[in-house]
Amino acid sequence: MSEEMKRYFDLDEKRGEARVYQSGEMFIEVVSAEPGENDLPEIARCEVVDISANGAQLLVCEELRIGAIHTLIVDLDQHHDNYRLTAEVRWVKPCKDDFLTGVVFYASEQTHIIDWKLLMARFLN
Amino acid sequence: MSEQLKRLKSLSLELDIRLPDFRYSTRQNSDADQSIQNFFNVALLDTNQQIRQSLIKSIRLAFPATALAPSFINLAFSLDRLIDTWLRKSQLEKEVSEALSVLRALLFAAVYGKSDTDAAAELMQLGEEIAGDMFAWRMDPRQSAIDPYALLLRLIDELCDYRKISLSHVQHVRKLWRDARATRLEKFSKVTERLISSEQLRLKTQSRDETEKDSNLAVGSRGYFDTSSGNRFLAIKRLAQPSALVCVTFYGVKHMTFTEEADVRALNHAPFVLQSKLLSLQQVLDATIRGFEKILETQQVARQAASEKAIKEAALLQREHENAEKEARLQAEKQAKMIADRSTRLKAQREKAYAEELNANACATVSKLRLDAWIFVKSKQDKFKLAVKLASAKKFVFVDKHGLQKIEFLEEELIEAVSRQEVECLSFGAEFEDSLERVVSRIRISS
Repeated sequence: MSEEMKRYFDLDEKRGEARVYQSGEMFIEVVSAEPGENDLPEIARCEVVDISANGAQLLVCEELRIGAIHTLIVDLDQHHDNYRLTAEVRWVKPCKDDFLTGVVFYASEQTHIIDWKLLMARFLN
Repeated sequence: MSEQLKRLKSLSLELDIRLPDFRYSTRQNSDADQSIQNFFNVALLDTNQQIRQSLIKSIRLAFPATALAPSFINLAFSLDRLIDTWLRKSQLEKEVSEALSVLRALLFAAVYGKSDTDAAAELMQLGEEIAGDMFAWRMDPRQSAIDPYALLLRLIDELCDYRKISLSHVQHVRKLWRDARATRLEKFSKVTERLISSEQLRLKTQSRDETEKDSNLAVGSRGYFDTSSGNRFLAIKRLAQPSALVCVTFYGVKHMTFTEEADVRALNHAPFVLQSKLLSLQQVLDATIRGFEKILETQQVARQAASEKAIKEAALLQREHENAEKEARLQAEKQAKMIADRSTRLKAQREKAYAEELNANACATVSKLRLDAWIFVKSKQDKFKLAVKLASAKKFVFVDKHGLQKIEFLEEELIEAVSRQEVECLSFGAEFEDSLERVVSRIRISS
């Protein structure tokens, strides 16, 4: 994580829960493929800044809309498993050519949120 | 008397008498009127016709199948009763009684056929005169010279011409009778004077007593009827010292002279019947009218009572009918309600079953929904993707294809919406992971 990113991160240091700094990628389904159409979903590939049990800070190449709920796949470095989560965009801040984006995970069923939380627990320990 | 006859005629119209063996017309002015005129024309002239003895019987014979006006039959019935009663009570000699019986037909013809009650009244007075005059009459061939019976029959024949029946004609006949009577009384007086003189001589009476009142043969004669022998005689002279009562026959011939006071007094008892005054037709007519008025009154009371009873019964029936209708209506409503309830119940059961089926289907559908499943919401006419499924809150959060939150459902709401077909499930999201994985893999490979 570059210094500049840390600066941005520090400025946004408002979360009450502990975070984990893990490098990795997240694939965000920015635009879903509607049923009955042949279009593929539009996926945004972004960089993980930090993660926590309930959210994450990402650097996204495009500006996501605040309040939008997206499906995302988390692919952490040095970790074999992918996690499929659902997150809501809480804030977006430009960061050079990209956008620093804060998301909150939903405790939704049919996601890997439980596994994710367990993973975070392990990381935090 | 004319007024009473009019009253009798009107009563015969009003009275509700129905004699057996007669057909009655519903109209007072019967179609048989012309035939009735013919009936009077023919029947009165035929001396053998029943009409002289009984109007009812002769009408029955003459009109066996014709419907007649009730007034026609009722008046005939009334006049039959009038004349029969009068003749029966007058106790006339059979021949006289039979001769005077024709009065019924003459009165009938005058009152009904000619509507001439004045002529009828004159006929009645003539009848009364004849009855009075003929009270003690008895057929005696020896007295044929002064016998009025032949004249009676001739005058009756004179009257029995329907075309001639009128007041003036009856008055003319009555005059003939009176003239003949005057002649006869003159002879009668001479004969009886001689008899009285001889009786005085025979009994050596000292003085004459007063003449018996009305000892002529007119109405009101002091006549006696010996019911044991059937003899009628006239008391014409009361003698005194010694007392005696001279009695003669119709022709003035001595019948008997009662010399004992006891015998005279015995005349006031049976078997003698004193007929000092004959029953007048007027009296019988009045009695007949009173009787009919009483019948009419009784009938009117009975009709009134029957009318009120009928009204009450009708009202009762009406109420019963209304109650029955009401009951039937209520019953029908009840049945309809039962049917409706049953239908509703069945419908509700079907709907419930259907709803349950839909609900079950909806439950199954909702339970199959996975993240990234797509639904179509009819009310919004748009498709949404299931982005979040919160188990604790049983909440389903749907977004558009850009991830913007659009709609939320509690699980029950979603099931309900699906069962109501307000929400249609387009895909269940099972394919998402594969497609996303494929895309992600492709991205990874490409990078």
